[in-house]
Amino acid sequence: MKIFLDNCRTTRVVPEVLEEIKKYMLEKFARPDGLYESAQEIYDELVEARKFFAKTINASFEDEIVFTSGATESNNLALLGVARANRKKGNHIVISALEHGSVMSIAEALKREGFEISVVPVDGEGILRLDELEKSLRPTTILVSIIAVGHFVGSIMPLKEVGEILSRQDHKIYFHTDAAEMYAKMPMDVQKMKIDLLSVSGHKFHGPKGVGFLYVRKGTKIEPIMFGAEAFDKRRPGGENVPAIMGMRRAAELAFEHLDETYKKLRELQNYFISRVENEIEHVVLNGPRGEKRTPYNVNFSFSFIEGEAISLALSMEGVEVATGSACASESLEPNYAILAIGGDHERAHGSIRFTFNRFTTKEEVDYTIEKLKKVVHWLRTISPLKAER
Amino acid sequence: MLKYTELVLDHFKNPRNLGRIENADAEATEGSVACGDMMTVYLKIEDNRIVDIKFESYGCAANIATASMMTEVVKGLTLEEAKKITWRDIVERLGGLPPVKYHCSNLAIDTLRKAIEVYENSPVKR
Repeated sequence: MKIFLDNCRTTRVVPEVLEEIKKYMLEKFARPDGLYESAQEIYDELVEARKFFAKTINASFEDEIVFTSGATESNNLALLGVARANRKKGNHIVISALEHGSVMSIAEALKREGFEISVVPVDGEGILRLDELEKSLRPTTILVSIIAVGHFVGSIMPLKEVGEILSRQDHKIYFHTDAAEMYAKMPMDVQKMKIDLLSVSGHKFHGPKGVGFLYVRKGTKIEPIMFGAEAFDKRRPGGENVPAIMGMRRAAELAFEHLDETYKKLRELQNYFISRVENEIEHVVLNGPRGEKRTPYNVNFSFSFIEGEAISLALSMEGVEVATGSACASESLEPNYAILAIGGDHERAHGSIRFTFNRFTTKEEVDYTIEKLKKVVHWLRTISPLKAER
Repeated sequence: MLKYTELVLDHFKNPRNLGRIENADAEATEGSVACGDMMTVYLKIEDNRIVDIKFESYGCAANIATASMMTEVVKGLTLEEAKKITWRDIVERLGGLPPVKYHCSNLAIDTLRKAIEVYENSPVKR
């Protein structure tokens, strides 16, 4: 038995999506540029796909959607593109302490280009501190980038409130959100949330890897970050990955069809998971918020006296695949920054394990996981020199 | 990408000489929880020879595996021989470790040497 509970990292492609990809590889393989019939057909279908994606976030125009190779590229285009295009208006950019590594490293790159970066802290549950956000804004602030869901601890960020705050300022501040963990998992509305740019990755909701999109509100001043022959979209030159785009579209259709029931089902499963772990394993701490402030797709616990790399490896030997915030599991040997950002110490970071669900996760899988978790935690605590009573 | 050898995984899954020795002749704990690696080594010594050794580990798979291998290597050695064992000896016996994990193998040797030091400095010797 193999149970994959690292769905925040990636998900499996579903057969309906694979069929769609195959169709655009084997039959409708043309590119959108060309005067012949098959190219025209693909051009129209790409426009249709943009219309579809625009509708899913309540965007007004189909050409506000730019297809990319995934959230990392979307984030790069959004941050580098907007920062460089608006340099004359200011050089200050604001991000949150829980941004994904991609936004964190883009911010570092922007620093090297002379931009100033402010990092807004989160509270003990991983929710953005709106008061700190307001304080961070300057007359030179041109862009604010806030992740939609803290990907490690599952905290849902107050995007609507961020949009409100930014729209109240007396100069234009662009609002970007990395929505890789929110899109196709809960409703998003760029009008209500006053979002100008929104990054999406296809493989987070059973679509293929290597595809995503960036929503760019009409009127946003943005520069391309890549240059090449303009096939379909001058903001992102080069040949479109049509099969992947169409596969992502099919995946999104299925996700949105099941959005409410999935949310409800996973919320129940999450509550069940959390209460069983808290009742059946001693010395555990839930990382991140409880209830509606948490994405139903995420459970994250720290286990005292034992180390996360050992937990995740031992779980993997039992057939359960999860992520850990332990420094030992990272190439940098740094403890997970999300746990430190919510006020946790190194031990809590080293002992943290993230379990993330997908649309198809079942109670049987959760039960199996908890049984194996209990066994592994017990074993590692037996061999640990750290004990509660000592 | 972290990738362990089969032997490392085997020592992680079935650590040799795991646990505590009651009435040990020496014990030492090195590392810290903050670093994410901590180890306790217990020694039973007769005629300057390590006749039994056990360990406990708070740490990653590399930490557990190197400790396990270290205990196999030094069990039966004299204290002088045991002191000469290096982290490289242990890592080589394990078929290598990912470079970022080298410090974990240091901890096993450091803790062993500390335990020997504790023994040598203790007033009561067997």
